[in-house]
Amino acid sequence: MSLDAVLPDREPGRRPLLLLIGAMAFLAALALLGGLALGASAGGLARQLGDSATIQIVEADAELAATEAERALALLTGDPAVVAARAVPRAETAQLLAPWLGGAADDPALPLPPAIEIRLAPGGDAKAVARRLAVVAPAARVDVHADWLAPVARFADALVAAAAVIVALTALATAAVVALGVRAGLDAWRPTIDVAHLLGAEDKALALLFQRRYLKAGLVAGLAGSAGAGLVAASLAAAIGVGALEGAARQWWPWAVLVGVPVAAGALAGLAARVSVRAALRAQP
Amino acid sequence: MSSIVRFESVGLRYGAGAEVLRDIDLALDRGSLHLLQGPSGAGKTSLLRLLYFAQRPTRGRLHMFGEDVTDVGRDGLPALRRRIGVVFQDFRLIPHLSLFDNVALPLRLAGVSEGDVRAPVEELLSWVDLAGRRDDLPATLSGGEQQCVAIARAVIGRPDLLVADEPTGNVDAAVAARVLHLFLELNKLGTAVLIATHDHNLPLALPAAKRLRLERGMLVDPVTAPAAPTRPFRSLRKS
Repeated sequence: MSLDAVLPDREPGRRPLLLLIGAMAFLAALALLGGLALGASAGGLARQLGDSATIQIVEADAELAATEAERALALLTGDPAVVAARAVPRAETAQLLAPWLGGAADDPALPLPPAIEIRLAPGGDAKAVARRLAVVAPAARVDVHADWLAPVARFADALVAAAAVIVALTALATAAVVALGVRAGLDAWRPTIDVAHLLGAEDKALALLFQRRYLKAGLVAGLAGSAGAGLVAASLAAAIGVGALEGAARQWWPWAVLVGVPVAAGALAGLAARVSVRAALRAQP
Repeated sequence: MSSIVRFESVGLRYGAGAEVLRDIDLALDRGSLHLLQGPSGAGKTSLLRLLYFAQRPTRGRLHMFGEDVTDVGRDGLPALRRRIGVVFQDFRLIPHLSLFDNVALPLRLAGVSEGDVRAPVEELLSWVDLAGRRDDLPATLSGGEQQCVAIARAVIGRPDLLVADEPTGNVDAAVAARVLHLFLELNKLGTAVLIATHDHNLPLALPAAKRLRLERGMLVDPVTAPAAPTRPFRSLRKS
């Protein structure tokens, strides 16, 4: 038995404390899931588009446009800053325009600018490519995807940072709540703890007792909060589409978050309890 | 050196107040029996609190079990306290634990395995005549019975030193006699016993005990010190 039976595990305020830790775990798990999902999709988008550019030959004379397009493709294929260059078939361009033009996009008489898609080498300078291009194809217009992607990426980065701040704040709040709970527990059992001390109880045994109890509380409450966050995140993903939910479930990180948050909550609560008990006891004569 | 406790010019003050104990020089030998007398407020309880480390000297040196323990750190206290049995004036039994668990507490806190706890606890509960009530809570006992449980708890760890604060203060004469008998038995087994009391009958009941007397925070000669009035409330009692 040792100290466990001496200090029954039923100090006041245990239930609100569990609720608070659970709520913190819920918020942390949800922020982590959201932040990681956002980070993953923004990262994927950047990987897909960040190093690509589209070149259009904006020339009313179709014949001249075709000539310039050929010259441009030849130049780009040999350019060291370009990894891959591909002429976009007319059908593909038409397909892209179909949402706006409807059936008219398939009209062979519709003047569509020839387009070339390129992938830049790492560190490849799109502006230098555009300058070289201007010599052989004055009508070429270079559209670097990273330019319009940058604000989206910045926004995603800001959201990920906000998620990290939320996680840090919930961790702080959990530690503070545990410190308060430990104080309440020590106060509630003050006479008993005093007697136990006078009979030879060790501070470290007392610290260990509180550490164990709060670790358990953190695990249990964290598990509940994390499960709640998992359900909410799953229903959000399902609202985007069944594919999104299945895709997320195939990743490793949502599961790591759902398991990691309760473990982290338990470890944090246990550690905070240990530190609080030690601090409170050191303050005694 | 056969002293298990030695005070050298010990002084104690609470906060910024005047010293409640002054220039205490005192040695308790192994297996000795002492009575600490003096009027209320003379500092008896404070002196006992120094002995079980509820208070630390603010001046002088305190030696115990052959070591200077004046500045011993918190981590060193449990080992020392396990060699000291304390009977508190207000018993301080733990209200939500059974008599058995109360008496067993010092052993369990010292990490004694559960198999080795049962026999000594039951033996001591029999010794204080409470074997049949081992599962009862302290609140169901009379004051005298609680005192006996407190004594059992104080001696279960076979302490080298037993200190008792007014052990006969809250019990009737029959229980007091029994309590003193328990102390004497323990003392015969080699435990040094120090009993603080303002009960003037105790020296008569324990003629073998050496007497210590505290007056206004100082140890004085118990023989030459002016005796306290034996019946201060005679006039009140008549009415």
